[in-house]
Amino acid sequence: MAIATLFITLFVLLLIGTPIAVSLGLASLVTILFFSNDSLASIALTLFETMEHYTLLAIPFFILSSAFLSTGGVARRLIRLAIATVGHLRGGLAMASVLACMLFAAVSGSSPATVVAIGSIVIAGMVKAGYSKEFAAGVICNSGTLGILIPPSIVMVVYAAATDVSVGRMFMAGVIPGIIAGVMLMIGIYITARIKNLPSMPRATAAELGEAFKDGIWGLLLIVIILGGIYGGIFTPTEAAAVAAVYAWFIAVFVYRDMGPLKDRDGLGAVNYITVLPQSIFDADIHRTVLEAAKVTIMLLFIIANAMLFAHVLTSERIPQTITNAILDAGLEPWMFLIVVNILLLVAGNFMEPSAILLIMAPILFPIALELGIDPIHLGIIMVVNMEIGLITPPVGLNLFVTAGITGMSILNVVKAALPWLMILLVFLILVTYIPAISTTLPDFVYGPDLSLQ
Amino acid sequence: MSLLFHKAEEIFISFLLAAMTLVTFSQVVARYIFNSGAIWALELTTYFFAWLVLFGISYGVRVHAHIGVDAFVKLFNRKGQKLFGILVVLACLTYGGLLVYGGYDYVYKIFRIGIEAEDLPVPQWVPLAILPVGFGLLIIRLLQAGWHIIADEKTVSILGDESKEAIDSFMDEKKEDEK
Repeated sequence: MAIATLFITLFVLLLIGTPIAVSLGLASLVTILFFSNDSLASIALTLFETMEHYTLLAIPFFILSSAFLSTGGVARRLIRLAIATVGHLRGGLAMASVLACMLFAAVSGSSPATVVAIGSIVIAGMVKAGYSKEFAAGVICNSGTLGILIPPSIVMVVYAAATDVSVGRMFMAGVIPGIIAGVMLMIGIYITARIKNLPSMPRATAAELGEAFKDGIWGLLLIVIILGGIYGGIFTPTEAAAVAAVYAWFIAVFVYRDMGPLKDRDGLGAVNYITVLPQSIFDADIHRTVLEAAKVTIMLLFIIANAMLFAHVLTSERIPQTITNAILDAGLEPWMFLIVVNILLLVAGNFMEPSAILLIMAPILFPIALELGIDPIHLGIIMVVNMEIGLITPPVGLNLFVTAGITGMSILNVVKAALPWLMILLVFLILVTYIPAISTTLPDFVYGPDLSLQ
Repeated sequence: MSLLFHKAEEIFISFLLAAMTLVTFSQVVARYIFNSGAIWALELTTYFFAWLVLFGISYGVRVHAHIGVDAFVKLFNRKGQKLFGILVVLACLTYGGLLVYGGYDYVYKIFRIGIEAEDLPVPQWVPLAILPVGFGLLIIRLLQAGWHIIADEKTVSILGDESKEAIDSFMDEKKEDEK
């Protein structure tokens, strides 16, 4: 009864257009008021405690660093490097776009941010070079989803917070699948390019490649700082995120000078650093970037806090245990369970925000997976890949909307354009689901096998 | 007057995000360069974080930042959409009302017990006070938004369009770059 109330209220609220956060929160509140003895005071406290969660503290920092990277010219330099690397192949510009998305994904933690940062520059370039707009939009829409698979990733931080898996392990686990997905997309493009005879670009000379690399090195260093720092035990993932945010601000303002008081100014001698530092704090550009990041943080964390409340109701109604027992009694094999997981997540991914789905589904799926001997890290990567696909399937695929926005195409046309590449991601999902080694090899190699499982 | 308040609201929100980033960053620096750190830093950061989100919810309503699913509602004409929009505002008001009460209840309890925060030298009810305050502000903003839906011809919903906003802000920057 309680559980029916919970889900029906949620569904009705979502349907009439209530914000996702309030839908989750109000459905939980109604259920608690009617079926449990929890006081309203303790519910208010649950919301407050979300922000005392040390792992989740990484999210605002990653959002802030993404904001500085997108507006601060790092994206442009990563694209230049990608073109110099693979641009000379057939379909090279499209392949370079995938590579640029992978590189940007490796410094930022969000998928729509990747689409906007890379797509808004390369789609126009691809159309100019003779690609069809649909082809360009489809490629960007799909490769943008790598933003949440290649570390750092906000969605992985949420999974780690929901299941107490280590964030460092999750980040490491995303590296190989991310590279495989990117390479699969590139191979798909190469084959299409051969058949359709798509253009290639002149081969970059070694000097040009070196120049592009040198120019992009400040952005690439961020990968080393984040992953190296976490792996080397220099700082926690949360601290790594804060360092990344400060670093991204620093290179945008002082090294690349694409924003802030030093914009369009050359020569260090003329600049008095003592006056520049306060200017860079009160600068309008910088203020706007910080405010934008704060807005995204508020929106996302409000959803997460209410999803935590929703998960709390699920657990107090002992739903995960009931489902676990039902599944175990049915004698479901691990491979069958994983099919169920994929279908469930693919459907849910069409209607909800990824972080909210993870917080609701993880408490249910996690104990079953443990019982069936599935590695938590492996389950995490499966969930993330499902969320990627959710981002490019209607009606709530955020990447579709973003791509439609930057190309001026209709949503329906973007869906059609994304479809062939979506097939590649589905094949990739099957690979990731049934070959656990893709996800677990690197974290086990780096950190040693997970002892808590034995 | 309201413009002044909007500006102050934005500055406060930006300040909270910037401050929590810098405090965390400075802890890393302090640990490696000065071999020390402040025990109160983490508590301060989490309070800033909680304030940012809870104070910011009402700001999110003003700038239409909260996302939802509008596929079903879009099937109706404007009048129907407005009706759903008002229903949504009522649902959100119920949510806000329950939490103002719950938040006040909790803060009052803590106030009466009179305990201090773990590491910071402030009474614990002070950081928690953002609960009733934040949700109270949410109610004020919801009433404004509801009034907009009734009075303004074009407004039909409190929902935002996240993708559109991301693109708008990007295009603004591009335009400025071109200048």
